Amino acid sequence: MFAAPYMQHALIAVVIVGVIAGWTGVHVVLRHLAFVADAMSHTVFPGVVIAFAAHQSLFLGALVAGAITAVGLTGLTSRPRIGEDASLAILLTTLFAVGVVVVSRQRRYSADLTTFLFGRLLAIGARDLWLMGAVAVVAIVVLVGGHKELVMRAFDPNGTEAMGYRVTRLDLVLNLLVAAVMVTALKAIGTTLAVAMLVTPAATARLVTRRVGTAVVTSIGVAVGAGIVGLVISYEASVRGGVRLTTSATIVSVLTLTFVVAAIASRIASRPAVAMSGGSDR
Amino acid sequence: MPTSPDLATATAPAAPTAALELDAVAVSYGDTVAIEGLTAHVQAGSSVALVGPNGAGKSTLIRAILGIVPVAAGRIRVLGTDPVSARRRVAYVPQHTDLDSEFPVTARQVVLMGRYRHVGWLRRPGRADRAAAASAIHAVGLDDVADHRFGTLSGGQRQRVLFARALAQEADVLLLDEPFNGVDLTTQQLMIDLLAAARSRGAVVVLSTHDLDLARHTCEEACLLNRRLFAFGPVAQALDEDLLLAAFAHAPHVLAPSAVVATTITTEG
Repeated sequence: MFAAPYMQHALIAVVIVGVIAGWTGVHVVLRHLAFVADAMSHTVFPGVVIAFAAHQSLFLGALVAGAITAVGLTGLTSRPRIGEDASLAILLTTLFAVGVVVVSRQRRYSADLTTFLFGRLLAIGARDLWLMGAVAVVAIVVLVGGHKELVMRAFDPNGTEAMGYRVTRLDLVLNLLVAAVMVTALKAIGTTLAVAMLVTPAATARLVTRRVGTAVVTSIGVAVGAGIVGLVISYEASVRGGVRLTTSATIVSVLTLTFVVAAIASRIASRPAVAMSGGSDR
Repeated sequence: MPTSPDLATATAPAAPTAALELDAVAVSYGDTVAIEGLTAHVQAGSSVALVGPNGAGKSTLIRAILGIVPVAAGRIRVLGTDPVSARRRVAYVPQHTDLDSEFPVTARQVVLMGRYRHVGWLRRPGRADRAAAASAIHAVGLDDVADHRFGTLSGGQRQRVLFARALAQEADVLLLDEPFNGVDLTTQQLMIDLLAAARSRGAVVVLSTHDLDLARHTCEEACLLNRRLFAFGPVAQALDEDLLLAAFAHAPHVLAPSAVVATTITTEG
């Protein structure tokens, strides 16, 4: 199955995306910031199609749009009160619509909407992998280097600021990491489904673990595992069953299924524990 | 506008530099004035209770001393420097109710956070940091629950964990936001003893409380405030019944600016 180069490329791509999406996702879930991922998917998409229309690198378009969004969102959320979520939603959907308009005016080959929204895992080339790998390496260095600070900021923002850390800078770092995930996931599973790759494995890990460290390992495991399983299922379905399954949609289905199973399992497991955990003082 | 009789600043040049200097401090959030015209000097090894009704600006004052909220007027000096530069020598103890009890972190990990500034980016806490955390956990008597998840502990135990984190920071200024809120008597007494120990090695303690007995019991000095300073000085004088009545009688929004003249009691000798 993995003899063909395109399958090898696809395998490496899902592993790269799985590792940084699974890891970054834990921080996103700890901070309850799933909306940042969602916002990012709405702004990276027009960035990519504009880059495409301008005959520029799609990665570059995603990178620029992601970085601008990361800075913008950090600025918005650093105010004590936003109260602007409606206008933010309008802005994001408008940007998304701009992307749709730009892409629909393109008459070049198969530049259809779905490529940008859902990616094309089986069309990933060696050059794409190098770019994805480079972004992933930078992201991993940041994730390792700032892990304990990001966790502390999620737990106790006032205490973190009081210790002399600039919380706004830490927030910018996390938003840039989300942008990095979007850029990396762009060709593999697309900007829309990248949100699922970022949030679902981490939410699953959050259900079944009690430490941040184990949550990171579990989340990466779920993300990479679902990526590989989804790839295999869609390959088998098309080669043996003759059924066309979009790879990225299959991956997301596997992710969702894993989450549901974990949710049911943790619900069952926690039921007797609740009665016992009435911890007493003294 | 009221002019507070400022005996403390009048003699400031001759006095030794205070660990904490607040001169005519005003803090505002947008158009809302949270605190104004607050002057108080606190010496090393001393302890101050911030007393006032809800919304008096106690938490705001602590945040201003931490440099998290900027001063709109006046000046705050912490250990002879500006609040932001002093942060590495300042420990802050938040209220345990401010923190997410679902967060997947153990008591020991929370205490270790007090060492992160010493550890630095990229690196993991080393043996010395783990030892410092362990001894802080021991000091607050939580050895047997150190590896339990923070959220599973009782309110008193959580407050002790946060206190242990401040101890692990080995700071010269301790700022505590309502440390006695919702804690059991054992925890109260333990924290009173540990605060006294911290002061005896020269640390400054500033804590906010609405419990007057605890304020009198734990601190030498009190700062009575309700958006502005009502009194600052030894607890016995600053928490005088008339002054308390004046500070607590007026809800912050109906307080006429010139209703009460602030009293600054200077400690002589």
